[in-house]
Amino acid sequence: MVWWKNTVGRLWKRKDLVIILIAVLVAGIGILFLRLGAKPGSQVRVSMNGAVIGVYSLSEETEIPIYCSENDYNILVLADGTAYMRTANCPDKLCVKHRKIRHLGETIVCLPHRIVVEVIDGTPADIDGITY
Amino acid sequence: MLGMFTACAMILSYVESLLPINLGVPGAKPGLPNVVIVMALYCMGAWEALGMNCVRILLTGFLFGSVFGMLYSFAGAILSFLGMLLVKKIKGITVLGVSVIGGILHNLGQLTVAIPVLATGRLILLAPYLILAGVAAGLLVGTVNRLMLPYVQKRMEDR
Repeated sequence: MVWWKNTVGRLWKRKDLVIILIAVLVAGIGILFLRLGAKPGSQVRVSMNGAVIGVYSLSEETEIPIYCSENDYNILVLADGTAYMRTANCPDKLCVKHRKIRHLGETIVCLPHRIVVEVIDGTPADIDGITY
Repeated sequence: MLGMFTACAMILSYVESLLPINLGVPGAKPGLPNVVIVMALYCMGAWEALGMNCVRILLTGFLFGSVFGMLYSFAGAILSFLGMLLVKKIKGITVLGVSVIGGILHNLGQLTVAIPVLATGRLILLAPYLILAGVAAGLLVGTVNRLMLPYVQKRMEDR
């Protein structure tokens, strides 16, 4: 495994490791905060191009087709207190592969179709940011 | 020479788009083209590498992707480039550290553009995962570079 030692020497130096560790630490702390602060949401807000096109209660059991243009669609499903994208005809289908969302602040985004589905708690003073 | 590097970057871009994404986060890709860009940074200089990256993004955007996707690519590329330029000046740092910073900033840059465009502050929640993805990508890019640079630099001197 060490055939490169002749030309390169060590693969990394201490300063590289410092950067990597700091980054991982910051990310790790961030994730901790997210896990600990997860609260259940009560509604799901769907926006297209930044404009809200619908708000639904998470306790509903329904399928919502969303059309961002004549031929481009996403199908949002609300079931068991969660929301997820059952199918979509965007090129990457990242929205479909996303896990189901239920906690306050979680989002499913379909970038090509400019659709954002987020979990909110229904109070009018809902801010677009998180404070813990 | 620059042309060859650019072509390589575009091919890597295409290959990367074929891979199924692993993270469920819009656009958090391994960043394979950055291997070439970092290599250009070290072999040819900052301006060359930056120019090459811009050309690569424009061409790839028009050929394979959307104008919209280009916006994200540019945001990530510029932020990561500035960061890499700064970090490169630290004495004792190798391509690995530089690439890791590049990877992280690339993803964060894309996040920074995604939030206003989609008008949700909530996307910030994705930041920690994007950082980790950036580290992983940077490690890959950095390791490849670390192994290859001595050879590439020597070939360039011989010309």
